[in-house]
Amino acid sequence: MNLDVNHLPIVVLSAVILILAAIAVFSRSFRTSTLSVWGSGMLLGFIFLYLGSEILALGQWMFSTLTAFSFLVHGLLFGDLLDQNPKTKVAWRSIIMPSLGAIAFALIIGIGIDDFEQWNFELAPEVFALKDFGKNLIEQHTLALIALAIQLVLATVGVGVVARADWIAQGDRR
Amino acid sequence: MIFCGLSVVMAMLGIYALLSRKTLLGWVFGLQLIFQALVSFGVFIGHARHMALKGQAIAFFLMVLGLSGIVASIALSVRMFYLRKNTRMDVLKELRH
Repeated sequence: MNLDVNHLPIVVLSAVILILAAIAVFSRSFRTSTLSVWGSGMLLGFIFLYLGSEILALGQWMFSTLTAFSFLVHGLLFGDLLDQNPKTKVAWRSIIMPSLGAIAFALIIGIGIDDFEQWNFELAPEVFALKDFGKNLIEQHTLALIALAIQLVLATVGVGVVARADWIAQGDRR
Repeated sequence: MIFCGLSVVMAMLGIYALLSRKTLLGWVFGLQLIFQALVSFGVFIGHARHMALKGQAIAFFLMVLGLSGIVASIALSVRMFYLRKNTRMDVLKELRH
């Protein structure tokens, strides 16, 4: 794999993303965590943009902003912003095993493919258009797209049922 | 491959958040970090293997799945607050009864 000066923005953005993710995990302030998660998602979108994935960059920015906004509204409504002690003590063995699992997962995918040393990380190898991306989704991932649509419908209905108010659950028509 | 390290470390931080946070929203922070790691992993693997369009398609599916999962978690959190007046994770077990 060849790294040159063109990859420098990605390296810098990756470092900032990791710092923000660490702040989000270890901070005791709910607001700091929310802003850090939002910032890491936005910078990840910039990496996608640098790699030529405009669609994913826009999706990532919308995803991060919507979820951060939901977190803040939820925290304001339900008092999570006032939670001054949001953490519990974690045993080290319960951290080590999932971490080893994550590393093993990445290694299995990375090494298990083949010719590992011939990887060449290209920046924006092709110019993608929304038309090409949609055509690729329709022609080569039709079944996954249908399954995703059904899952989204089920999730929408399920969210409405789960988050219903109590007077609706009890059949009280007001 | 060095960029896939970003995904791995972010996933590990997300797992730590899942284990250490007490409230459901803190748990959702971890979930979001894990899905961001998976999306970036798909994009990086696609670029490294000269299959950028395929990697982006996988990342797109993962991103939408993650968004629906996080929305469902927030709905569950709203339900918990309706029933128990707080969003702590230990209350989640009581929703079965």
